[in-house]
Amino acid sequence: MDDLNNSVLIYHHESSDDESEEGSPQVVFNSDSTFGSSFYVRGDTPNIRELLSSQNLASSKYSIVVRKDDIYIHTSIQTTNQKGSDIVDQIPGAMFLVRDLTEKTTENTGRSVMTAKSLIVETSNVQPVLRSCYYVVWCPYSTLCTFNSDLVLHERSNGEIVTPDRYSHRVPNSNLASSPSQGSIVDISQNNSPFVQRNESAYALVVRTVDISHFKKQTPKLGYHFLLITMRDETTYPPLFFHDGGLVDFISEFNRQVTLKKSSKDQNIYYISAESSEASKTINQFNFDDYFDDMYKEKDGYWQILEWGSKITKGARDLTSALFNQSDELSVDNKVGGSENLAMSLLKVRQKMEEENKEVDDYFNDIEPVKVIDVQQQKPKIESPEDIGWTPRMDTPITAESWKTYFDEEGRIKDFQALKEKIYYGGVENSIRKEVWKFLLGFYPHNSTYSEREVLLEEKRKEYYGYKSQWTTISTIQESRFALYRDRKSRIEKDVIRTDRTHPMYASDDSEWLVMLHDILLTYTFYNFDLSYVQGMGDYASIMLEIMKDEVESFWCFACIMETRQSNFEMNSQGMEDQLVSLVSLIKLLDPEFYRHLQSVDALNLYFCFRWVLVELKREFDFESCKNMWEKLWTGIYGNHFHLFICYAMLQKIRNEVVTQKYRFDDILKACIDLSGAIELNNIVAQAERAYLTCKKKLEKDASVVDSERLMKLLNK
Amino acid sequence: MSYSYLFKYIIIGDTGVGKSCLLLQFTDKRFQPVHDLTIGVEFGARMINIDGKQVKLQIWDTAGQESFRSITRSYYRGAAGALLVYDITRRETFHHLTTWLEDARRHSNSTMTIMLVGNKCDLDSRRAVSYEEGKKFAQQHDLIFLETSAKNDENVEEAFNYTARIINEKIEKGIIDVTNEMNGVKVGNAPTATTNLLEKPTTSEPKGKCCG
Repeated sequence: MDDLNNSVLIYHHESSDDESEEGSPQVVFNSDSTFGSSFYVRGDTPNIRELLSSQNLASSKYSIVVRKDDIYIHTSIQTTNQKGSDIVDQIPGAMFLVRDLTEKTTENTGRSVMTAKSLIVETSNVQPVLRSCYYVVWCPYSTLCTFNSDLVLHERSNGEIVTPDRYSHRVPNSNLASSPSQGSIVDISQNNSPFVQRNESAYALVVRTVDISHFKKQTPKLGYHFLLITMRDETTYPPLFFHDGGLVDFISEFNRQVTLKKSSKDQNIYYISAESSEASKTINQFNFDDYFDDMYKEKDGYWQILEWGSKITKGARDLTSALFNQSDELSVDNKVGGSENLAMSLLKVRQKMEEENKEVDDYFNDIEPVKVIDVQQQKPKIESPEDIGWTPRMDTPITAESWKTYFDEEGRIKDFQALKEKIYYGGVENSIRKEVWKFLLGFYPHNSTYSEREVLLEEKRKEYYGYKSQWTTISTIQESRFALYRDRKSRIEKDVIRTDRTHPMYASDDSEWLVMLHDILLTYTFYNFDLSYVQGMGDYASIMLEIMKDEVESFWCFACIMETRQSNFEMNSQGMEDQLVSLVSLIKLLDPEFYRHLQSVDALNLYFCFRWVLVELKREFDFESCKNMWEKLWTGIYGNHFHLFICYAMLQKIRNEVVTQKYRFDDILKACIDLSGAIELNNIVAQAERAYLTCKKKLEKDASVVDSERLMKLLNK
Repeated sequence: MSYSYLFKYIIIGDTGVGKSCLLLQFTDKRFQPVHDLTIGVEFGARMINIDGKQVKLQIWDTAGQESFRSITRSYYRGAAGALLVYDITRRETFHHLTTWLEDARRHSNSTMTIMLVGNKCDLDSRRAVSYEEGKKFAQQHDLIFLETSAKNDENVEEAFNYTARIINEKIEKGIIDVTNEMNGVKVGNAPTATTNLLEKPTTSEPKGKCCG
């Protein structure tokens, strides 16, 4: 060991002083909440030498409660061995679950106890339960060799005894090779790789279980099984490969110490839940289950509120945002009352803590010291439904049977407006969507007769194949001298195989529908040569094909869609810019506070809504909901720009979080991305309707508002 | 969870070169040949370890198509690192590097570290850009260079990690001012000196004295 200790790897304990002498950047504890959501945990993680030192383990300061050997981190560094073949570098190590057995009497913990108590006192009279803390550690054997080589000794599943000797050659005899100076070319694929002789300790990992969101186990048929650790802010760590097997056993052993909860959606995901059964019991007595069940399924569990030291704020943040989102729901049930109380309590706790100690735990820094009341005042005033003339309305869908009743004897739609209303409020059965959409999109004129439509379809069929033949007849020689065509064709080829492949129709690589989608898009570049093909068009075309199941009809419906959306796809993105500017006007009118925040962080370009607007929220909902939503949009019941009101309603889901935590552009963008798949359509449509009516009412009251002309256009039908 | 630094990255390059696949391989250790093409921008984050410091990488994955270039430009702002990706099997993606580079240099801050990545090196039989050409381009333009395979997870870790090491070095040398968030670096809440997994090396040891 002495030899090893004399190597350059040796670190000494008073390093902080040296660092400042070195002129290293000064570490600033930045409590500025504008840094965003990712910034919420103060690391009080002990270092690995402390956790695994023979001294501390012997004195029962820490205890290894689960151990698993032969776990590797793959760095996949391409180095060249003597034979010249590539080898993938893999670092062997062991994984430990370490329990902290020390009494939590530090100042830090004292606060936590207080926190837990305060919370409990305000919600019930039960004493808080303190729990010990666990750390998940992965340590390379070569690092263990440098300070507790006894720990390296282990037996493999095949009976082989592994001693520290096996790894001693991996202990670096120098510090990390220096990085090349700025700007110099580095060719790390070659022999001079700075990683070849490296300090494997850099890969060591210590995390508190309280900071972990979930484990994901991956058990590929070929190759090693591995475990992925995802933290609460969705950050992941390098995967840990179980070379000696035993991943499932490890998880069940882990589960005996720290409770894991299997995800109902993905059998490979295990959420870290309450670490102490007492704690969850305590809280269950209050029946919080009832309050938060829906909000917290599989997310950050409410029970974790009691965890010592850490999680109150995250809970409070989620709770408050859940609360505010909930508060303007149509029906406010008694659940909200409960969460409101708790949210109030949590914020009071925070205030109290701030009074007692200026240097509040960083957990609390991502919640602004705002009182609940203030936040509510900031919230834009939602006009009451009566004031704006809004009533919830939900009809039954149009069935194949009732659909027929909308036509006269010759096949003209009797009352198109009434039909559109019915579609808006009730939707349509899937079996008749194909017909309904052709009318809604304007491919069929609503006053056309059966026979006229037959003729039309026949003409359009010929026309389509006319365009299509223009490219199917291009010979190889022609193509080789036609760069523009080649370019467009290859773009479409590349993109079609990346469009809605999770849908059964498009899933198979040799799906005929993929070919059809390709042909539709390529033919469109000949039909509309100037616009040609732009990414995002495929999202529209694929849904058309899914509904029509016919190349010609899909093409024409797609062409109808493009008719009004052409400017979104033009090179200068004028249409997109225009719509985003309109959305800004809407925000300014309906939620000035939010507008001011966006302005203050220079985020008024609203680029975080770009995808929403370009493909009209298709990516934010599942296929079925999307079809339902688009039908609503096309009826024009709430104007021809209703998707922008839906965007507004989507933004309202995150606006409190954004404003109170002073999100910047990046944080907002992240929050928007996270909304994908997490929103219920009917709810968001109801919010959008109310926004529409509120906007209308405001304009009626005062026509002189800024951007009134632009806003009037948004309301137009 | 604590970290010493947060580095903001951006991944750029022509459409279909494998930007999203590189990100997914890095953050999720998965290769997903079929995924929806990127519209606007997508996001990923991962923790890495640089010289014993926990560093969080926040990575923005952009859409490659030219029509969206004006949007992409807005993401350069405040990025500390960029992965400029081309596809070694499609020569045109290599030709477009100059435009990408001009764009990146014009819209980013001057301290941004750019890593040139030749992706899809698993498809060697279809190679249209040689390793030497990539290397030469990198040399001419002062970039770091790697060939990767998002499919086989070759050099993916290195592409991200190496960029981070250079950024870290720029911080240590004072080239990057960490107090200015526009440089794409945020100082985290893990004090670099006291909560390292392992303490810092002694100062008396010259750095990189010997690397075997």
